[in-house]
Amino acid sequence: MVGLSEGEKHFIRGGIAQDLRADGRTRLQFRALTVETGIIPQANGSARVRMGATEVIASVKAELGKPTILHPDKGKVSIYVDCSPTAAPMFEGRGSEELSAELSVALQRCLLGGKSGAGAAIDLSSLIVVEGKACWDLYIDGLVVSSDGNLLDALAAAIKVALSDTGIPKVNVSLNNETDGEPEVDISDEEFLQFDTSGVPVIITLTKVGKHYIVDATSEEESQMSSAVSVSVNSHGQICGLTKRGGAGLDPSVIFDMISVAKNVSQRFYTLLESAIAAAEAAADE
Amino acid sequence: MSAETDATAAGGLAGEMEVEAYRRLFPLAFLERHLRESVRPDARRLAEARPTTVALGAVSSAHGSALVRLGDTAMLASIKLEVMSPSAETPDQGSVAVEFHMPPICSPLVRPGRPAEAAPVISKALEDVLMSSGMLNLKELCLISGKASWVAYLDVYCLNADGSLFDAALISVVAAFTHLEIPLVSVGDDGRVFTVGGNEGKTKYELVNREKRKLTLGDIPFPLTCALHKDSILADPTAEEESIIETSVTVVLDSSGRLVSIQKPGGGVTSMATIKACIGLAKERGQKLKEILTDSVEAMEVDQAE
Amino acid sequence: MMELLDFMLSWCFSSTQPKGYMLCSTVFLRRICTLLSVSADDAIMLLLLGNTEVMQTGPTTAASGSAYAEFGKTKVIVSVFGPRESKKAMLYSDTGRLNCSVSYTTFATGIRGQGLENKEYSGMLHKALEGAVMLHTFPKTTVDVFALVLESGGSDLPIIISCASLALADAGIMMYDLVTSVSVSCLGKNVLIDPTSDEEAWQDGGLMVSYMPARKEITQLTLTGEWTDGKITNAVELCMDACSKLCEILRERLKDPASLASE
Repeated sequence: MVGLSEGEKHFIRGGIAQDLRADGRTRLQFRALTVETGIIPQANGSARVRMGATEVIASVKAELGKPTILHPDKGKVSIYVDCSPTAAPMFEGRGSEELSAELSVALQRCLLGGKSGAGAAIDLSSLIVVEGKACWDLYIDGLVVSSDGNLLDALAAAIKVALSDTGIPKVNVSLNNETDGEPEVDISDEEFLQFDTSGVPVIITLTKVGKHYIVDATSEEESQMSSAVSVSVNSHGQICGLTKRGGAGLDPSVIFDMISVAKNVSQRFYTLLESAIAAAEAAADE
Repeated sequence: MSAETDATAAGGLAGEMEVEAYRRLFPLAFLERHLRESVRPDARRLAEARPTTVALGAVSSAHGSALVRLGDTAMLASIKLEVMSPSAETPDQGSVAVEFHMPPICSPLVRPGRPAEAAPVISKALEDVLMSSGMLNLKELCLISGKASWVAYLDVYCLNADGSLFDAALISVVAAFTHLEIPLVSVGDDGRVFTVGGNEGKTKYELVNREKRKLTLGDIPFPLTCALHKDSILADPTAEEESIIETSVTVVLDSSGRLVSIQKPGGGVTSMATIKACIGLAKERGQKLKEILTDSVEAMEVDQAE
Repeated sequence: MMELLDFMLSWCFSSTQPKGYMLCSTVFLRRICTLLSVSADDAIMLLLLGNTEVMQTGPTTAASGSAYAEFGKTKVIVSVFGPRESKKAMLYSDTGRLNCSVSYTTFATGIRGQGLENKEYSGMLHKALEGAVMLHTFPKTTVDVFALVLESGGSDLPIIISCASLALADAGIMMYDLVTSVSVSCLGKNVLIDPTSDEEAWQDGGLMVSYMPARKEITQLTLTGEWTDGKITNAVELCMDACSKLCEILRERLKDPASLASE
């Protein structure tokens, strides 16, 4: 955990109350955001996102699989997050297991939507190759390289960028009835299909310190929080996931207020993310 | 020796102490004072077992299940059947996989990630008794010889541990098997066996096992654990008594009165006469358990009829 | 009307139906809901009518406190141990620790061993309860909350949470308030309270609220699927209302633990 003296704690809380945080930001201001894409050549898509000192990597790997019996017309997506032991001293050994599981579940909740597939970030029916026989399985892996607060937002942003970077090989199917109904698939090396990532939401975490809430908290600020609400908002401004963290209870009206603030902030975050992606592309072109 | 000094020391203090404190500080003296009066701390006679209840069909997600309470000890057994292909050596037999669980809820001594030491021991003992008693005819679990048979996953969960765990576990296992109803199965076009469910006659495939919905149980084993302390025999000990006593003997007799298993896990030495007395007690207990089991089957049938 | 709905639901979801019925049943369920226009208020009725609930304290005598809850098919036992000595490896702490663990029996779900998928429940239970327990009343020690799901029939986590707070109260652990929890499933335009596992399997979205009625505070809130603002507000208010009602039942149970609740 972050070791802070009483004076430092007071300074952080006081700064937030006066809308001037320790690093000079206002309460609803993000840290500098940089994005890199295509950093892992073996993966179908990958991205690195830095927010201040927080750094995360997301990768997307697509493999051909078999759809489940219950959903023969849909592909599968699995999300898993790992915390590198180098990211923070407390992640050493088995220390990160609980946090990894918590982040994985929160991301699954925000990105995979309901059981029927409504509100999912990725249209699972677009992953189908042959109904009931073959589909794409997407393995989305997140890695926390360096931790300085707001991991969930950074991971969600990295996954969004990684998905837009993802190209899925085009598949030619030759249905051959003689081979027991198993389709023969031919994976193309040259042609790729791009994903529609407009539905992939971003996550905005509002951390409540004292009476106020802040976005993009550093780990020092997180150590002072009473509770935090992570809201995932898609580009249409619809809520598609919500998780509350921290022990203290919240008044319902505060939660509703936080949701509407998160919605407003998310639109700014979208612009921020888009300009970061544009900057990354410009840098790659040079 | 130390026990005796303990007892005399306790005797001196006895008059000035609350009963609960005395019970916790000098458990041995507390028990022995009771035994001198031929009574147990919970007001039972020495040879008396705790009240036993059997409730069949406690879990609807299993094919057969039973909840057994033996005093405060509670045991939940459930059987789930799955189709598998039988092994090459025994093509016409099914199989039973026994597992005994002690989840952390049952006792303060068990914590998550650190399984109870007693669990694998009881698991093995249950399996041995079940297989050697001849209660089950494994051939009845066969569907199509060499192709398909049932594997019965028998899971016993201890919900509250208060002594005589093996007894409660075995009673619940026996009860679960009496409750077990085998689902209907048929063979599909592709040769795969699948379960059909309740609506008989509606499917286009022929049912394989229309006749075999219940297992015919052979001789049913009934257990009794007796705690031995000095010259006393305490039937069906509680956890408190088990922690004090010198040794115990577990006798399993089948419903025809034959001896299935007898186990004395170390501890103090015992005379042949004591063992014989234990077997005698087990015989009486077996009769009682048989009645309890029959009653529970009737109670369930009444429930279903309503 | 309710009987009809009940009958139709049980027909189209009975596990005895071959798989083909299961596939069409999502469409079928929506149709039933629109047909009967199940509104939020009716949904509460559904909770009271459709699912018999049983809650009682004290099934496990070996524990400091315990509770058993049965909502329809879902059956849960929670035992509370302690306050007792913390593990040796733990550092000194001037507040107490709350340790939660949720496990499933191997036969809890239709497919054997499927309950292992819900690993995150232990952490979620901890988060729902930690805001309510007065940790400073038992420094240096640990209170263990162990839950065992005997049978899973939907809405598992909210039932575990409510049952655990009943067990904590039974153990005499100091709490600010009882935490009760209720979840809703969103199917098409309708919101179903206390969903069964079949309803959960086809839901468009789900929402779970853990609530302390006397303090009017939400300790845990999770949401999946796509929701509009207005719908979230309605669903959360519906859950809070149901939580308050459930809390009344828990209070009754604590006052008179001997009687069995079956409403």
